[in-house]
Amino acid sequence: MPERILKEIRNIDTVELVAICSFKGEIGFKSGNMIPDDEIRQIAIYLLRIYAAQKLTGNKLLSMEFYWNNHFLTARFADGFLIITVCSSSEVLALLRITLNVTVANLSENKPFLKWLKKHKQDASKHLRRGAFDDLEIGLISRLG
Amino acid sequence: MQLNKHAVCCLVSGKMPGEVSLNSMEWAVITQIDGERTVDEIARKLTFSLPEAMQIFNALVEKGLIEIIAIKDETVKTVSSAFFNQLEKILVQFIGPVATYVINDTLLELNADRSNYPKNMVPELIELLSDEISDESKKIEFQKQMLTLLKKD
Repeated sequence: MPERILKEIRNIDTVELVAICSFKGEIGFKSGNMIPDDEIRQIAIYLLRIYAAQKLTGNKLLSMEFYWNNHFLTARFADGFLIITVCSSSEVLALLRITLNVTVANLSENKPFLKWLKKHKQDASKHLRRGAFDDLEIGLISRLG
Repeated sequence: MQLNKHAVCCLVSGKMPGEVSLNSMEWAVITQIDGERTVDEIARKLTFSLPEAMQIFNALVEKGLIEIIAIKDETVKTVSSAFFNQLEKILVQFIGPVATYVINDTLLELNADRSNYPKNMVPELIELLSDEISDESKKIEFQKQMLTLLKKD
């Protein structure tokens, strides 16, 4: 069932990848192979750090859009999960945002999905804790004023 | 053929240009030329402004590296009046009889009108109209119904 919901997004012109990740950073459902799973997990964790950092300052982040590797990467956050999509044209972004809003609503009523989500529940702020950063990130952070 | 935003280019074959040097932007454009996409499509893909892209394409033509092979159809598909009637009908359910005025105001904001609204810009219109619905769950319901309508149209 969540796969059918993912197909709705995948059917949008130029969308090359859709992945639903838990707040642990794990991929639950995916359609498209343009990015290896390890890289999707890493991207999810970076996005979750931004989400968690924003939450700490009192802002609830709903979505983010980036230009990345000649593609447009969209992250749509919801309670306990995020949907990452990658498309190659900016023309579909408005349609994608609407579709993602509806997808989040549909997923919130989808029993198999909720069951999966329950198993992978985690607070996004865990990605900001000491020990969660790799050497490269620690090096970058140490250079911050 | 004159270079414009609807022009389709391909790499020149069978002719060896003299020694040429390319800057990074020209190289980026070269990598996207496939004989199918227009200047406008490539500009969007590379997030160049249209004047910027035109300048680069012109430079590449002058260097003898690319040539124009076609000009794509410039006609823009517009939405039907039936679509607007349906949209109004749906929006009335969420914001009441002001829906007509809200749609007209939003179209004005977008510098468009019902008779020539491009089909590919409908999602932007839906997003703007959604902002007029304060209740979050009703907003999603509106978007859900509009997506269904878009698929039918």
